[in-house]
Amino acid sequence: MLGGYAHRLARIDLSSGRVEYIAPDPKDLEMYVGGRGLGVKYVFENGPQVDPLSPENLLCIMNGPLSGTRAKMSGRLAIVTKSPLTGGVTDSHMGGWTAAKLKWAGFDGLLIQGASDKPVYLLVKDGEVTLHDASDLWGKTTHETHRILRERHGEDADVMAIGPAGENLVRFANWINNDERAAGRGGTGAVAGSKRLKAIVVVGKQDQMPQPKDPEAWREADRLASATINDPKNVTAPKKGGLSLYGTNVLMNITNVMGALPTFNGQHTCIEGVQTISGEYIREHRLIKDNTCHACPVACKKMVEVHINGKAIRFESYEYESAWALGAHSGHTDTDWTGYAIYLCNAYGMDTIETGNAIAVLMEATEKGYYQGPDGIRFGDKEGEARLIEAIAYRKGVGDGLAEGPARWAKSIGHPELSLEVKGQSIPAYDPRGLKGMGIAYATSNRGACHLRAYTPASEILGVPYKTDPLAWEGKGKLTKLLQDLSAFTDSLDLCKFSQFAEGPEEYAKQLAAYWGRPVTPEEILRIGERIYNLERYYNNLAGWAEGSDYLPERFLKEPSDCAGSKGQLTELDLMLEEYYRERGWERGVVPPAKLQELGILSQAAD
Amino acid sequence: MPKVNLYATFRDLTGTSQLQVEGQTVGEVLENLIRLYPRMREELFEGEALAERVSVFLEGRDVRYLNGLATPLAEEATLDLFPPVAGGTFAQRFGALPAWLLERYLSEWGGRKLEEGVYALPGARVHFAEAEPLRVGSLVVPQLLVQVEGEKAQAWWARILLAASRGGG
Repeated sequence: MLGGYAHRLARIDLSSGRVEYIAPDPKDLEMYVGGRGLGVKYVFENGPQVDPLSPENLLCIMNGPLSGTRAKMSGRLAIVTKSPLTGGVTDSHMGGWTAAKLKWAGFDGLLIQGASDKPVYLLVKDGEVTLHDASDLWGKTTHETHRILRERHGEDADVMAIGPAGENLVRFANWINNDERAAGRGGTGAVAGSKRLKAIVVVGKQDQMPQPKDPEAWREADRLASATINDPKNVTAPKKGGLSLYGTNVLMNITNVMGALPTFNGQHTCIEGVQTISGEYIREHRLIKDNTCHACPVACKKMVEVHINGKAIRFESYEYESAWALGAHSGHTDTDWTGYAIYLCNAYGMDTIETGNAIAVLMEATEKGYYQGPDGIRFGDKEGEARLIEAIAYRKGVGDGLAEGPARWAKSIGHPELSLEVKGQSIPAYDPRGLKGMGIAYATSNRGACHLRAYTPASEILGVPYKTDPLAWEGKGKLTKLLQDLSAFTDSLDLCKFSQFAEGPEEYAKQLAAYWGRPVTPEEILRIGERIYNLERYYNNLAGWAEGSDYLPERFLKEPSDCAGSKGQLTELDLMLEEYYRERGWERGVVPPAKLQELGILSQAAD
Repeated sequence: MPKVNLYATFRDLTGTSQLQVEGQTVGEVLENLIRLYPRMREELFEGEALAERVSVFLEGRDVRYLNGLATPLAEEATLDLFPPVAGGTFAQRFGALPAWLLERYLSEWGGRKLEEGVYALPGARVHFAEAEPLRVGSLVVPQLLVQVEGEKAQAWWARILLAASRGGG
């Protein structure tokens, strides 16, 4: 029996209230590991034709074989389901302690189906899952829900909740836990809302931490992983490296200078005065505390305090993507209002990236006269932005349409080109005219436009694993495939993406081998990642994202960048796609049967 | 002024491993280098073109895949020049790969340390040295220059590439 697992899953039918306990198939664990990979396998088995907001959709809350162990940066929890935003499979991950406590409570995952008649929350404790009435919590913000449930179940209880946005089926509603970590993308909170599932409370004690099958090998693997992350020269070095000091938002000044920061809904590629929403500025002027997640020495989380109309508001965290979406992309760089907008999104339980895009799309539509309703707002209208966030969460006025996702709304007003989306999900904070690799990464991401499937800026900006020219398209298809496969694997362990700035397949293989209790090679790591990526793509092909689905917004292909660093540049998508498909062995975005057989997917699917 | 790193036999020919050479393109820097060390001409050029056998890297990228000799250089640019070796030469800068970690990999794969920064593997020899860190905004990323030569260089290079794979997010 492989080590690292609780070997227990709860299958919860919210329609009947029945809970069944099953052990994961050992073959699935070897092929898909856990977290994202195993969740995708279960969502695949549930069928690609299911309506995402119907009771039949499966909502998987998963941890991995290293969750709840002392493995560094192992605090990630995967939520996998069919996305109401894209119609394809999605996975979204949150930090904090939820994943660890879920393992300590005796579970590798919760597989949730059906829909309850009345609001409920789940209590996960001592290897059991029980359902509880959540009528008193329905309508409350995520923050209020955390507070009430922790008062009820103890401060040790970990709470993840949806907010009003999830209840109101906003297609980009998310989950937020009591460490204010978000499983942000893809609308997993709306799936919970459709099932009337308000929250999950997890109670687990550290003495239930799984032990490695090979303790001696583990000591060595852990020592090595720690040494790479803590290497004082590395960007992850605690209290020294740029990622530790400034968090994700260390990038804001950099991408702005490169002409790789989409602003004013991507009409420009930089913005004046960006430093006031940058990580460096926030650290100096708004930082309260560097918080961290389970087993993480890096502590990239930043608790900050902003002031709005004389009121102090504290929250975590002033992340790069959030600050971009609700600041620069929406046409301003106001430190406090940007922070307040992040806080509101967290409170209502909405993806900051998608919300920022919805705001920016409405702003451009208003300025161009495509939308003439009374609640239209223009770029830089910070108070209007805060009002709109609430309007989306509660589906009021134009917020009702935007809650369907900016792509759907832009199409509904006859201007689909305003929405910078791929497969229905909006772009994050990198402009592919200034970072060409992000173009192919967005286009081929299985969960819609995303920077976390293949983080090509690691290479294009940081020189990791090797430096590439951000303005060159050559080699980016190959790089994207490597990073997609690597991330599909680490998302299945489930380790933080930041671990990849220090660790690679050798380090991951050693850690997993020590827990599993059998040899694991670096080649196997990437093979597993490739299998997961292909299964996701196969699911999407069956769900309707077939040939020609790997596209980019026209703006990146036809409107040249206007800022220094990338001035005049467009994205050479077709050339990159050709290289990428060659590397993948796909036919215009479709996985051929031979590839499915080669990776063991087809025979497994038929089992 | 651009910096030029020289490796293996180029060091013997010039008596140096690193120097600064004026020029605004790769071609200009190489011409100025030849003015300083005329014997380098036959090593670097075939007629007017860059010799097939030579590897010239700009920040870890082969200049053949950039603009060749016309590739523009920033003031702080670094060029790495590698001579040809039987079986092929592979070289690249790696970010977030500390020298101590590469040494550990090489030892695990049966490598033998010959001297500081040089390991012998079956059928290949690996040279490595810390290069200038990459500085971008508030980030400083260590860089390690790695070169593999010898009959089995290609296979070992693939092994190193796999081990050095990193990403982020």
